Amino acid sequence: MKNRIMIVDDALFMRHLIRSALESVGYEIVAEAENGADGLRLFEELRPDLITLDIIMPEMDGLQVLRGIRNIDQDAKVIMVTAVDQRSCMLKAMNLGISDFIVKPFEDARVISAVERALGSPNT
Amino acid sequence: MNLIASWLSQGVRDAAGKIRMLSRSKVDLSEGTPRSIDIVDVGAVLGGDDQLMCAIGMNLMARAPLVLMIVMSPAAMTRFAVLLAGPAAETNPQLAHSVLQEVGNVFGTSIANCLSRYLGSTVRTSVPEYWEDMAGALASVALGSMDSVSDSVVLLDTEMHSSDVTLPCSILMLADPSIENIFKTRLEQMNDDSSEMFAFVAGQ
Repeated sequence: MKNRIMIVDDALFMRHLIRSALESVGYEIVAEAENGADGLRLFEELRPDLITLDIIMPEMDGLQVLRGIRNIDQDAKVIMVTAVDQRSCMLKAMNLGISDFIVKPFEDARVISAVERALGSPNT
Repeated sequence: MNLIASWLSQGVRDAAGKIRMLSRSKVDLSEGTPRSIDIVDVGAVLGGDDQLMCAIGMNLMARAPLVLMIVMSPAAMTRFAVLLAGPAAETNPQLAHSVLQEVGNVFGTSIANCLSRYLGSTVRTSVPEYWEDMAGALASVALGSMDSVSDSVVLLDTEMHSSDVTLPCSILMLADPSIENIFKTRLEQMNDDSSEMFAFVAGQ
């Protein structure tokens, strides 16, 4: 069965890039969310195998979403997507147990390898 | 304005690598020599006062305000968005807008990081905005977010190259008049402390 991935990012272009990179190697994107509140609601509803989560978003930022996810599932696999100047946020995210992080702008190969590592094997 | 031109150029070189990454190696950016122009000549230099142009603009807060503008013709801007996001950007204005906002983020953070290294303090950037207006009016749009502005503007002509197209792009920097003194003072401080100058040059 394909691994099911959810993308949470307020930037449509970033969602487009991540989706296109992951679909090119066969991952299934089960949902996209453009804000943290929708992301958390969809996580609870769909329980994807992995979430890519932007840090800076309106309404509810990535760290708040990550805390919410941890309240629902301590073992959920989360990859944070960050800009270069968000080091302090990244440290907080690491303390909440993320699988990896991707720095924007990124290459497709970086996204794919981070997801493969987090899920334990290449997509099947 | 020479100091501002120098680090604007450095910031754009940093951004070029990121644009290449964002475009999956489809777009390269080449830059000309930065120059200082009178603010009243901006429209004429961009192709004529009545020429419709697009800009991605944002504020940089570096002890005093600056405005960064990335200016292209509407056709070039659309083509650029398509190069980065594929044909969908031509029919989906929201996607095209999101592409341009990310391009603004790339330029803004690259230039802000370079400036931050030079000044030794944090430089914040605003969310990039999309502006469309006559070339002669674009500078006025930017002026709306500043209390005062220097009479001259730094202009850096660049080109975005892909395998089949070259897109001209002008990068403009408008600065508060106090910026020049802030830069000069900083340069004097660095000259007094050669280790600090070495650290800045090494950081480039």
